[in-house]
Amino acid sequence: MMIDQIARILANLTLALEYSGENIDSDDIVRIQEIMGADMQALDQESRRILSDAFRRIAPEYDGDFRESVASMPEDFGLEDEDLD
Amino acid sequence: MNNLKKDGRTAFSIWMRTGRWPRPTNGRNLELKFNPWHDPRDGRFTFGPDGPRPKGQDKPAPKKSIFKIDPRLPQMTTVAELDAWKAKLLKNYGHWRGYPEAIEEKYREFKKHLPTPNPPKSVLSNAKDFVTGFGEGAYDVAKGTAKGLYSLATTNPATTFRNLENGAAGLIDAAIQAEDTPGYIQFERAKASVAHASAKDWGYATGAATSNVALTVTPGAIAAKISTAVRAGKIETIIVPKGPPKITWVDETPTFSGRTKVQARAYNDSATGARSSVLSKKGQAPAIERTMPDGTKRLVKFDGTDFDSIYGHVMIDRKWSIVMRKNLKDQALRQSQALSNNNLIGIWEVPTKSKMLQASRLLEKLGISNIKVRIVKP
Repeated sequence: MMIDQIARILANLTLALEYSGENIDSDDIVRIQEIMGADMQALDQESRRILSDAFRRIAPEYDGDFRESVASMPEDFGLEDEDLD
Repeated sequence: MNNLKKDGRTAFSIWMRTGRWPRPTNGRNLELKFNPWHDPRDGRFTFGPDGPRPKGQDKPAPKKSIFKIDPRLPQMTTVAELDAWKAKLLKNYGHWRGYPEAIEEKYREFKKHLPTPNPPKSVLSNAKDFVTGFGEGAYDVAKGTAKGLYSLATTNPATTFRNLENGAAGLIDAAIQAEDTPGYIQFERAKASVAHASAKDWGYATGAATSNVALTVTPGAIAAKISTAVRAGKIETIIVPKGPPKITWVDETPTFSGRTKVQARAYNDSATGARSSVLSKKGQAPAIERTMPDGTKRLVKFDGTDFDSIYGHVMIDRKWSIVMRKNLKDQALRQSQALSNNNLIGIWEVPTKSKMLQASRLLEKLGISNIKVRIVKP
């Protein structure tokens, strides 16, 4: 499915940033993730749900801590928050 | 005849100049007496209530009010104003026959029609606001709990205030949650907060103090909570710096481009105190030192700096969105430690309410109380 492939790209990018060690300034990683999060939260509710499901579907493909990290992405990136604004 | 014409011209000129007709004197300085029983409509004398009257008119004529209320007078809205009005009339006209009674009658009539004073509006009259505020304060606590608290809070007579629209949630938050602030400051803030609290604010305060919600529904109880905490040594006294913090300005690293990046960058760069370098043509971030466990110093960046009436000098960090990943948590902990090292309070500014709740939840989970969150629209 195309949406799973998009979820893999986002998950890999996120993990690459987070495990880049000292190579990238940690504050810059926060900035990049803020922008990624804003883009994901800008999706409509149905699209957010589809993307959330995709993250959960692909999570078992990862090992160890990465698996949990990918599975928690829907919540961490605010895909499951109610529309309060 | 000539004199009459002359008097008429003079009177007219006086009227033109002053707007008043001169009293007729007939050339003599005669004082004209005022007869209260004089009918102003036709100029004829009437009878007083006890005076003689023609046969066949046994009953006194219906009383005419002596009052002609001047419409220019401001409307009396309180008993005090009415009492003053009555006292003034009695002083000026009370010695005239029939006037004290008439004044008293009018006084009673006015008093009966005084506007009802607005009852003190209960800040807890709006259960919806209370529950909403509670949800914001309590974050993860079920909002259903608020209904019980609402009942509890409404039974307390101390919860009636005016100034409902001052939005004191932030103040209450500062008063109750800022446990790294000296106790006396918390106490003062709590007093100031509750004086302007709205239903939503009360809900917020109640929700925020999850340790003992019942204690926070009255001002006295807030004070008790704070003073108890002081005695228990829970509030760490800090030295409030008098001058501005020692800030180092560092160039910011440009991130990738795109529409969202532009919006996020514009939002971050518009934080109060943000600036850019003329030489490097880059945005600059204010940074304060964090003392590492080995004694070395490292800089921790923010987006701006400001002077806040509640917190003094503050460091501002703007968040376009809240992503609860490890890096943000690490950043929050770094900032909190640096703020603590410099005796400062930090403020995260976010663009929307949902992001404020996310940020508050994150800081709560991390046990960080020296970073506050507020909404600043882009």
